[in-house]
Amino acid sequence: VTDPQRHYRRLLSLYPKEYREVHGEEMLGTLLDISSERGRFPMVELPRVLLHAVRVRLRISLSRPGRIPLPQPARLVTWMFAALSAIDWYSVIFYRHGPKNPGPNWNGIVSGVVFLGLSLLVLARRRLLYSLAASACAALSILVFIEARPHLDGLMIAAPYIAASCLLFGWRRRYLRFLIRESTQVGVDPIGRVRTRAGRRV
Amino acid sequence: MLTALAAEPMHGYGVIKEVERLSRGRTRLRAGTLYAALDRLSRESLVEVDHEEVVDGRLRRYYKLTEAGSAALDAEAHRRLVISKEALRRLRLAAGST
Repeated sequence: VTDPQRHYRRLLSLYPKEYREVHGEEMLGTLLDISSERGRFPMVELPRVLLHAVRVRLRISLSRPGRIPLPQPARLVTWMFAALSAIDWYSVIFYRHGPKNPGPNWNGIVSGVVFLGLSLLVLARRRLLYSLAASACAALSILVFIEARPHLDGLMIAAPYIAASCLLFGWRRRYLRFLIRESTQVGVDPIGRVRTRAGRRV
Repeated sequence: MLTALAAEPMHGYGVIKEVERLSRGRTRLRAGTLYAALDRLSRESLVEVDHEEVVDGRLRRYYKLTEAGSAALDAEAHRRLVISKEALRRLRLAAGST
């Protein structure tokens, strides 16, 4: 495997597995053809490939009819993170320029992105990402508790994170059972048409 | 893209080159754009896979127009032809009146 091939395979790993299995080698060939002509990979191709990968992922995940809803605790935590993210973004947008807050509110921006990222990790329906979200949440609770003075305030501020961690860790088995149940229910063909395991198009 | 595929089946890179040639270099399809368009056209049953071959260890999948694709291209080409003719007629009229 040559170096460009390795790079392009890494790039193509952004696509969902179902899509890669059918179009991966073909796209790899096209990318190699393009770079052979130019002598190197034109970076201008990169954003379009990324955008397409995101679109394919969205289409496949959104086009699953009758998709099993996430377990209640996971939904609760997702909404909680989304709400915290919205609160942060609200403060970023509406309280950016005041006499007491000159310049952008970087804390708000970062925490908004972190909370949004955590909610997406739970929504992603992947075992590893779920564990990552739970661990990040636990780490946040500890950090907030340690940083705050006095600790009683820290306990109050960290309460949502502690609650989210407890929910995520406590219901981990249920989430894993849900993932197994979902993975055996339906498949999606490479261009986003949903099929049952028996191959019938839904 | 439909015009590029009208004459014969083509693989992805072939389509990119053909679109560039047809547009006289003004349009350069990117790989992401190409496959997004091919996905959409496949979903709408306007193009389909014709055959595959491996060249220099690279898989090439050839796409061709379906009957629906040919009909859609034909309809679109006629629509544009009518508009072009009308535009030329009006330009001639305007030139004649001055």
